[in-house]
Amino acid sequence: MPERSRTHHPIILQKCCQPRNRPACITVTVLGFVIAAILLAFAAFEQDESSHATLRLVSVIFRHGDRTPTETYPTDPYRDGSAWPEGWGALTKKGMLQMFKLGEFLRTRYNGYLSELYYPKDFLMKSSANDRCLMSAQAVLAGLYPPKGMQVWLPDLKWQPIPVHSTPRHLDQLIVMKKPCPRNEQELRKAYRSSVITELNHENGDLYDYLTMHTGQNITNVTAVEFLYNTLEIEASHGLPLPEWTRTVYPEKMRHLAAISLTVFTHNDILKRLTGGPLVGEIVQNMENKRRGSLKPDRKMVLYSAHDITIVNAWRALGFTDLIKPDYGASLVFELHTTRSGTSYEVKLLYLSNTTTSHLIILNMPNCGQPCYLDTFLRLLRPVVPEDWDEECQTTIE
Amino acid sequence: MSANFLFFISFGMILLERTSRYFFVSCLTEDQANLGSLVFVSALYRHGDRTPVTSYPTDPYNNVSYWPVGWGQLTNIGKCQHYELGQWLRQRYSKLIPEAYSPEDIYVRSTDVDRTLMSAASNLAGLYPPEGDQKWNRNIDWQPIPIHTVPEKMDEILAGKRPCAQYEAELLRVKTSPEVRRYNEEHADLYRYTSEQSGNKIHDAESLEFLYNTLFIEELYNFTLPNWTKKVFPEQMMSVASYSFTIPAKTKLLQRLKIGPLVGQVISHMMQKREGIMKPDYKLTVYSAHDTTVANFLMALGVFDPQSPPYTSLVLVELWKNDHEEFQVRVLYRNSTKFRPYNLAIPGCAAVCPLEKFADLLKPVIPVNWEKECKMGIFSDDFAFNSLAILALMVNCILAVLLVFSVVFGIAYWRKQKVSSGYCYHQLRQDID
Repeated sequence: MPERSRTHHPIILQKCCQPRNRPACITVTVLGFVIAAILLAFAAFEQDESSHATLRLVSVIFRHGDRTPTETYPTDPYRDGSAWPEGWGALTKKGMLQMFKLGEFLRTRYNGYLSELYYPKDFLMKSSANDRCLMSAQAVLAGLYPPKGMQVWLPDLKWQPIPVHSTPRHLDQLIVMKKPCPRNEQELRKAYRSSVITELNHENGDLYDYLTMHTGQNITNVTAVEFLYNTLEIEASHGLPLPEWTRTVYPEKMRHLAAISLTVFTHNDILKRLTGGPLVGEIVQNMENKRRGSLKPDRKMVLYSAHDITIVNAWRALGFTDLIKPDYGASLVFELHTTRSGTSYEVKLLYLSNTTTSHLIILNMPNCGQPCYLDTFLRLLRPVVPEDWDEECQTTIE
Repeated sequence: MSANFLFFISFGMILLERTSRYFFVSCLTEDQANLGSLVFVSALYRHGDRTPVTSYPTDPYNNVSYWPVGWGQLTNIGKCQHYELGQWLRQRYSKLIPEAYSPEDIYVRSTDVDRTLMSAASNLAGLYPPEGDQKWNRNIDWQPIPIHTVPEKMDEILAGKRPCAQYEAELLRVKTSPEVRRYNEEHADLYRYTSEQSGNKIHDAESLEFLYNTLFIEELYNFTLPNWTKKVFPEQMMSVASYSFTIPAKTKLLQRLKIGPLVGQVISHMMQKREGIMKPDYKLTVYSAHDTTVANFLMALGVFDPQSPPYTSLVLVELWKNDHEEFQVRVLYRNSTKFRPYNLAIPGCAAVCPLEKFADLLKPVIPVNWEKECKMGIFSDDFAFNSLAILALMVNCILAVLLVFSVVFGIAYWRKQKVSSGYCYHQLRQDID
């Protein structure tokens, strides 16, 4: 476009630059330049504008930032906790910075779409009731919404209060999934006894024995391996030398089992529905409401401050089967777009591995095709979303 | 009969309460009272300055553009107020709570409403500016601290919004009691006038308070109020608005069901502290809530002076331990930044009250089993429900009688049909003949 306007200028000049109508000529020339400049500006910003122009709703499930271990083991050289002044399972300063960076990343990516001023109707932050998640949510908000203009409330303070909503663990049937659900517990017990897991336990019998011997605690299944792996990983990442015995098993062998452990909670279709379904269901419902124009308040972005298992639950409920072990700040991003013609809606799924990268991995929703239309997306997910979670939780068989 | 009896008792209780309530302002200093050392504090506060929760039909400012942050949201002034209250708490309790934040020292709970969550966050920014090693971002003089909350509909402790049938029934009884009815009759002219002018339906003190609150905020923000308000605002409306705060926790039963769970938690924390079994061993628990929460709490303690609790108004319940290992409670109310907080003595005890006695005096307002007490038993002594039950019973009886009658008539008709059809047949034969 800009090129074409430039080639037009000489023609205009030739045609009209006669002495008698010079003022008109100058006017036309100036106007021509102005129009050209505007077109140029549009062309330059087109890239950004267009990706935001189709965007209607963003939902993100992210894992909290760097934390201290939630537990230790009998022979742990760091068992006394003196290495962790923040206490067990707490968000560290490093974790706060990771979360702040995640907030800045979201600001950069969605600036222009999401106002720099915080408007409660645009934006919602939900969190697991866990301290490290509540704090992570706040740190993300510090990066996403530094006070601007009229929202600067205390000179020199680059922070403003923004609400973080949560539900106590024992009532939470959205993120933490700790509200009692007999059916889920029953199915989970079955999953641990399933042939896949028992065979895996059998195959790794030697490893379990090795770990049991060296840790001083019974390691008999993948979840015990996962917990131990997490503790070792955190100690190592904080520069604490690990004991000699870990060399042969940490990280590779253990990491694989830890990733498998995360899948047990969504081992079968019932578990996927009861454990991953509610959160995916809410995100999907918001998309559907957005399309219908009935999303109230009419949000632009909803964030969920959560755990690694929350991401894996949603991941598997969506139908992904790849093993993942979400890092700190890992984010599963759902973008709802209108198609370029504006007639229908499509869903884009993206994954951020951690906060050291700003590269979002584009995910192909299984069986949805490209583009993944909202209608197809909704149809695919219908079996995963519980209609009445409470009721489905009660229907135990056996 | 029993309903009437109960009614008189509760009416008597209201009277007793009104006459026995007193507002004790003490000038005791800490030395004079031999308090010993402070071991634990529960703090309940109202959020800071906010925009109106709603406007009214004829409001010249009936447009959200006057309030860019939206309806019912905390404003910058509100954030500053709570930041300052946080600094004030830091100064007052510098000996009790270390400067470095630790999750073992403080627990913050807020109602699940934007303005209370944000107030708590601003308050913590003032209370815990990151010190030394806790500075995590050199550009930001703030650190994240967890604020716990419970969805309103599930929260019987702080929000008091979890459904409770018994409370609603009792509230209805209070609202239709002679005392409240008389009050409303006395103010009928004011209600009529404000209804006509505002376009709101104003029929009691609570509905008037809503309007008063909107006008109050608009005036605070220097908006010129319509001329009709001059006659009634602020004086006349203010006194009714103040009175409205006595309604939600007017009787012992209302207190028990609405705010009792919170009073119970505060006392139970102090008991745990005395026994040394509190885990984690908190030094300060903070509750971020609303004007009604503050008023209800003071009502339950029997020390409410009917006034709208202002922004950031603060109730402190302090637990002290003296040299003789005795635990004593002191209640303070701070409703102004200009004055020192008032000492409040609960009826029947001094401003510094032994923990045991404090707990005993408040026992009647603490539910033993909130959920059970909220349920309405079928033949409970509840007046409102009994009349409903009797009505239902009567309707059932009538229905049952109707059913019996219709069955009897039906059978009789059916039998008659059989007989008459025989007769018809007979007649037909006659015709052929």
